[in-house]
Amino acid sequence: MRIFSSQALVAIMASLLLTSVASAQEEGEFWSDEDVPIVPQNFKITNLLRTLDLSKPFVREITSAAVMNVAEEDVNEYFFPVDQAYESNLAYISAENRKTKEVLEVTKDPEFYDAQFQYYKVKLSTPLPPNEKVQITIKTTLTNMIRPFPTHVGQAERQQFVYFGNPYALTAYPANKQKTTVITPTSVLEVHEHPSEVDLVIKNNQAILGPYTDVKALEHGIFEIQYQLPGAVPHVRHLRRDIEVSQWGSNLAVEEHYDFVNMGAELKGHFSRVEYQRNPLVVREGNVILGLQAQLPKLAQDIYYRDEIGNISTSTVSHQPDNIVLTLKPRFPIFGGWTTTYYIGYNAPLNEFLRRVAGTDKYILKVPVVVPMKETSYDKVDINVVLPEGTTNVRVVMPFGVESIEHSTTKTYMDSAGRATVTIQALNVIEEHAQDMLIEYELSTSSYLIKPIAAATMLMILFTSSMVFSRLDFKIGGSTLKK
Amino acid sequence: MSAASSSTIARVLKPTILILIAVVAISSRLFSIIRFESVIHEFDPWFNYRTTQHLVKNGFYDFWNWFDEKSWYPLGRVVGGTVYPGIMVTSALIHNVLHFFNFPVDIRNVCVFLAPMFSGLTAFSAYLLTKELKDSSAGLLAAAFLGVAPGYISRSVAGSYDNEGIAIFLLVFTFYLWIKAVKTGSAFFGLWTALFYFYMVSAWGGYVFITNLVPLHAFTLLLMGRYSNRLYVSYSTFYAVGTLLSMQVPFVGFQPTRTSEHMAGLGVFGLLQLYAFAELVRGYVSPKQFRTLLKGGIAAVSAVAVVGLTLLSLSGVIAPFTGRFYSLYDTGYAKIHIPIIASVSEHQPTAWTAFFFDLQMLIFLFPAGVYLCFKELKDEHVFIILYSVFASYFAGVMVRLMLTLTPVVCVSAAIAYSTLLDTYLEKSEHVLAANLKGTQSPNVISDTPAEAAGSKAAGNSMKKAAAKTSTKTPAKTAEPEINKSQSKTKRFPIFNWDSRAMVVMLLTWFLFMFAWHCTYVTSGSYSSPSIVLASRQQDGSQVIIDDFREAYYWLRKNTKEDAKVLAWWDYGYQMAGMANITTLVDNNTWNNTHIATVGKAMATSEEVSYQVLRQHDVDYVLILFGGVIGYSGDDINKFLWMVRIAEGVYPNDVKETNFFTPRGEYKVDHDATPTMKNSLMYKMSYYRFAELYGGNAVDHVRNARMPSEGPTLSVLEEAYTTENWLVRIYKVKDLDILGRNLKDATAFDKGKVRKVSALKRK
Repeated sequence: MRIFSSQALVAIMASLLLTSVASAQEEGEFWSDEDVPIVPQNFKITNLLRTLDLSKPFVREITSAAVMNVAEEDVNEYFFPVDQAYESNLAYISAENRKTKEVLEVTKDPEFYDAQFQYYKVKLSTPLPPNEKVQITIKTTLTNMIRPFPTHVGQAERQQFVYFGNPYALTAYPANKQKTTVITPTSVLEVHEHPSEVDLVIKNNQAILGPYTDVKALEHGIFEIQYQLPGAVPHVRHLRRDIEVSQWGSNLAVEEHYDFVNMGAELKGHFSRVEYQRNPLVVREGNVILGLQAQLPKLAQDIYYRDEIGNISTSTVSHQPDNIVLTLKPRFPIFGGWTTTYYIGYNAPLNEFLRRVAGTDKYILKVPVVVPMKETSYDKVDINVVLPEGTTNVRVVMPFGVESIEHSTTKTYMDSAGRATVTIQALNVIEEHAQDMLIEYELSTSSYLIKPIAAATMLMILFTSSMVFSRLDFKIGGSTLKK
Repeated sequence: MSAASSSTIARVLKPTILILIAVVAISSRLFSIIRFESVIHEFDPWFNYRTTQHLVKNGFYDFWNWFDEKSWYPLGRVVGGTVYPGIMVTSALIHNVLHFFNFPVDIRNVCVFLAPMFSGLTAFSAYLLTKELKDSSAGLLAAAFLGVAPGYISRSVAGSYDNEGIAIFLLVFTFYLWIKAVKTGSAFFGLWTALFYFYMVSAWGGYVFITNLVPLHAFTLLLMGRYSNRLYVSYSTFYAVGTLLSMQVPFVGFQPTRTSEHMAGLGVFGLLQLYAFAELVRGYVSPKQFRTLLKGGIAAVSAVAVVGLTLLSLSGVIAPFTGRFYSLYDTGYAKIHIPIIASVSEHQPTAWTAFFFDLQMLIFLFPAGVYLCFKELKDEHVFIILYSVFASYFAGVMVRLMLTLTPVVCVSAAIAYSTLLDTYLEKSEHVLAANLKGTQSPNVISDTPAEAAGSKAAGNSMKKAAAKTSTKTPAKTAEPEINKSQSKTKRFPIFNWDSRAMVVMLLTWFLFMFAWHCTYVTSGSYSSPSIVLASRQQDGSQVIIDDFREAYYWLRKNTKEDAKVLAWWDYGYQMAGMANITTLVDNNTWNNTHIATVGKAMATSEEVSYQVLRQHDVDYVLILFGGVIGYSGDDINKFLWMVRIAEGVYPNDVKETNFFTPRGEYKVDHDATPTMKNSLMYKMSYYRFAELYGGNAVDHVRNARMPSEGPTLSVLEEAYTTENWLVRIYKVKDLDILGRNLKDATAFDKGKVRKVSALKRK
């Protein structure tokens, strides 16, 4: 393990700090302590525990707050601020009542936002009477928050990352007491900067910040941790997921196109096969992706794994109790900064996903929006759902907010009218988004006949034209030329 | 059974059999697809595939004007003007038609299945051709033979997207149309011959075969005194329209008027006009005057022709024969003068065993068929005789031209085989009766089917059906023009059922053997893809070595967009297609100097080579190295060709003799010559190879124990090596930032200090 000279680090940190300060001053009073929450101050936080989980390539933040209603009346809306700078990094947010484990509805508030913060509204299931307490846990997942440092590592080296953030839990209400626990994957960690009020405690792979008392609302400071992250940082820049519903064949065809990159520290120098073959186990611990695991439905068949130049023969299928795990080995080991593209596809029986609303022509399709790979973040996901020909009244219900939902038509095999197609775009997707979407549509029994009629007409035209053609005489002047 | 009903059966049977033959022809070409995957399996066709993709994506006009800056860097290549676009246009057309009808078939699949689909059509045209020569039962046999003959399969399996895939169909069909045109004397068929000739010209360089064979046929007929209006009409139509059309292909351009290869056609065209004129004049003047006129005319015309041709050749208006054609005449020519042609394995002379391997029993039936053609000797039979003579010669000279021989072998063999069947399956009483009558043609075949046919030839439905048809085909199919002299020859009536049974059983047995052999050869030799190497483990499971695509895909995804990769020309097309990077040389070996430069970069020492690499902006160097897994087609084994080609252009830098040990051996181990050890190719191949085995490395291709200290590299650095070391990619280093030469810089980085003496000298 390479130890960096502290001097160099200090210099780099200082420059980092300077640039961020400078940019902050341009944008506005980023570092000013005058941030005042714009949401109604109905709560006081009596105690708050925050866990910052850095053991995966993305940052999971769990904030458990015991809050007390200090207003005069019943309140059922609790606000959670997210820094506008990290708004696009926020992949997933959820809330629950810590006691009852009841899931609470979280929505991005369209009213309460300013240049600095975006507030998320957590709706309590029952309004909280004055001076009553409730414990709320808010889980957020942020992607692209960590930077490899050093930026280049050798092929058998473990990489280190730097996380730069707020030592305090960001709250919209003043807190009597709060504490942050940072969990890193290994015990190799260094904290370069943190508030000096309370001594920092480092225990194995944990760094504990706080407890801090009487923290103001929207309090923030500087905290930086450098830590080791074994393994790689898989990242999908773009995923195109095509789902085709065929009611004739009772088949659901799925194809997924990946544009994949290892976002970890870049490979220093070049790849050496000798080193790799000599110490395969050492290399495995470094920043390299040797295999990916995709989860497919239990009854998936005709599975394929290809790329732009053909089939990739190195994949294995293992049947688990409730799904199929497809292990994909890329053509080459993917070191830091390396990219690849590939696509996988399979067929699955439709009756697992489609229900007919009894007594009507309505059908409800229930398919996962996406099935992300573990520990992988997805920048942009496009989902195309192609419904059978003749479908009308398509309605889409998404389990989470997406960028856009569009309706169009696609023409494929022997289509005359075209098939209704739903195109959904989602940004910043992670494991937590593995949820089902519902698509409701109507398909009358008569539209089943469109295809056979079209096929029959085409054959008819073919035969008729050949009949006419064979009866025509193309000879010029008969057979008089023969000698 | 009445004649009408048997003719109805024949009418149903024939298309059915033909469709079955097409199905067999297509399916026997699918081995590689079923065993591996639907992908272009061979090296060369990647260019066709890439251009087809371009055509489909950017449209025809863009394809026509495409300047490909990704090949022959820094020269580039005008693709539209240097390709035979037939195959690409065909695929694009099929693709677009399918897409018009909303069939979203991938262009890759169109390309992969193009050759098998066309083989079905080839079988059909063989049927038509043979039907013109004998009868439809021989036609069916010819179709069946051509459908499965390995000589043709070798170039038309699924995934081999080569020009030959459609060219053989065009060849056979053009010949059919030509024979039809000569037989009927119809301008309509002459025109179709010209149109298909044009298609052929746009598809394959082998069109020159038609360009010469058809005039030769016409000329021979003329010499045999068989001039007729039919010949005049058909040839004139064919030549005039065909030549004009062929000149529309940019790659051909004005060649039909300027090169020696095309002169025969023009000459015969002129001759025919003169002959026709003479015929005309003969009708108006007395024989004596005509003779004088003829003598004078011939003398004048030949004098003008000889003088004119000589002058034109000397002044360079008519180009002399190209090297590839010389090597057809003198097989040693290429080896001495154009190593680049000789270095291609498919340009080597054919081994005798290859004839049997590719054609099996057909090769024995072939002469018999030609003999039978001599017996008939109508205009169309003369054509087959000429075709077989010339194709046999060419097939003997160049392995690749086995392809042009195969159709005529199938046709002749079918004639021979079908004649045998006719003789031995005929119901004897009927023949006797026919002979007694004496007026009927011997070609007339029994109306009633011989029982023997059905039972003896059982098993193979195709053959059975073919045999049946041969007996059932009624008098209708016999040619209307019966040569009077022939009807007098009596055919042996074979009465004894035992001799008949024996012959028929033997023939059937031959058919079985043939089908078995064809399947075996196709499956074993012609269906193993070259982009993946497959082997079987001891437990029977398949191991696929996919190093080529591993390396190409790495290049495609992880190098900068305009990276230039230097590699031997064999891999050029593939690299451009799969890795999508810029190559210096490729399989279109049009610029010998450029190839020699690449050879020089490989064959010289690091210092010399580095200059070449820098001059050509090279970012990466790619080589094949089979030493780890024992892949014998690697670059060290091709190295001598690189040296030879480089020596031809840079005799001062590269000398072949320096690569041989004093005992005249080509060695890579301890005994390797210093030149060999210092060459970039050697260094790249064995760089860190010994380390893999802890210093005890053995090169499995050349069975050489390598020195424990491997070569060092200072101007290149290893960028990527594939799993089985089959492909090694090196990055060319930038100039040293301190201005040192790279050798010193590398030594310094390794902690070695230059010798004091070396410093003093500077």
